[in-house]
Amino acid sequence: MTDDLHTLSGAYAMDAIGDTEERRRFESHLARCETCATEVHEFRATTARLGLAAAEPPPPGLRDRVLADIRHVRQLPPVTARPSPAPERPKGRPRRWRRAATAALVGAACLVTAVSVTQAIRERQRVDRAEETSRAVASVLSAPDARSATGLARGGGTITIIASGAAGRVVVTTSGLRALPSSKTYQLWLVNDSGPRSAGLLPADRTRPVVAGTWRPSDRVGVTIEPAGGSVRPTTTPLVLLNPT
Amino acid sequence: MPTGTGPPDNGTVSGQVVDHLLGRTARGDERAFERLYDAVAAPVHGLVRRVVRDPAIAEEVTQEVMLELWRSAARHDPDRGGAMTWIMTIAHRRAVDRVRRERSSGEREARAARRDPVAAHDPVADRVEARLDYERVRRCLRTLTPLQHETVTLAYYGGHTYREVAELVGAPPNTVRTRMRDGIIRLRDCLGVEG
Repeated sequence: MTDDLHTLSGAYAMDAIGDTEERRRFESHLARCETCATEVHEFRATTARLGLAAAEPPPPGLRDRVLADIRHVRQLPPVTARPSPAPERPKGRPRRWRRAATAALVGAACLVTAVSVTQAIRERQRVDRAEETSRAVASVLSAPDARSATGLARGGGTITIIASGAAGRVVVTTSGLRALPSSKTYQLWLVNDSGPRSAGLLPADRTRPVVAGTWRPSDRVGVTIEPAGGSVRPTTTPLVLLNPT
Repeated sequence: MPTGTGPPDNGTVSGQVVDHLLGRTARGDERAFERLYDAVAAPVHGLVRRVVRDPAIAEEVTQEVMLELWRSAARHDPDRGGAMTWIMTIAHRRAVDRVRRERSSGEREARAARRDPVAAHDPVADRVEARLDYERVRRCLRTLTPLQHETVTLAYYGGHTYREVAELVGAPPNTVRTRMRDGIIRLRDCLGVEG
């Protein structure tokens, strides 16, 4: 029976259990079965990707209506009381533990060969860079004058920018941009009346935001496809040109 | 490779940004909510539209979802997954609720009479796939068996219950729910999703 219930996890994650009683039974099973709960979380993260793939901008008037509406909607407080001690989460801890283990392994490896030392340094630099990016992203997001824009790129994908004149930076995130052959790259441009200036190349790992400096309020942000290594001036028509508002 | 930030929720905007914005929205920051709207309105609306189909109803549901995000932002527990997943889960549930509510009130039958009622053999899957922006999702969907593929897309994009899907594809409900689970497992592994 339990096994039988367990096979409902896929349907549950997709809101596809129509029968209330059946859903309730699965939920009470879920509360006791840590493996099932983890599985449902992973399934939801997976189906969210299917959802993201269907992105389509809403009608333009909706934004103002929603923003006007929230003035009249009180926010719920966070849930503070935990009724019972939360069960050990199978994911969080091991991950932290794994990190420590990785660090220890990296440490051990350092003693062995010079190559490993280089790798360890490189890994450390990578982590430092990631942390620096996080801080830069946070500084833009929390700037009082932060503005944003989202656009669909020609050829597929979405580009979102958040820019702040006070921080002098723009955060660029992309998704679903077409993969390019190794001979080409995506290049970022800041464009104003005096012309475009390069703001760097988009890295191959596009899941992380890019922070570009010297953004000024008169700048629009564009993305073009350029030969690998980038160009001094754009050589193709921008896929998108965004004006943060 | 652990970096201290956890895997980003690959989305229309990077998960990191959405996590930040939802966190600030939870503290009543209206500017942050505005930016959150810009970041997630297209994914939310796209999914809702796909499920409910009717543009006017889709707009209403998207509005409900966005207000729900404002209202419940503080209820998102970052330990239990990225903000983008949480948002898409809310959007899907709202869309499905709306479809089922309409169907039970009979509105849907009336609408269905004017359109292709089942949309199963207009294969939803093909139309959806033609529009998918994301090469990777498309590639991963192609790795599913035909039955896994059909059951997953009918349930997720079509908003059908697994019993309805069983009717539509002419397979026993137990087989269908197993195939759905197998299909999502395969997608999860193909997309490299972590909880």
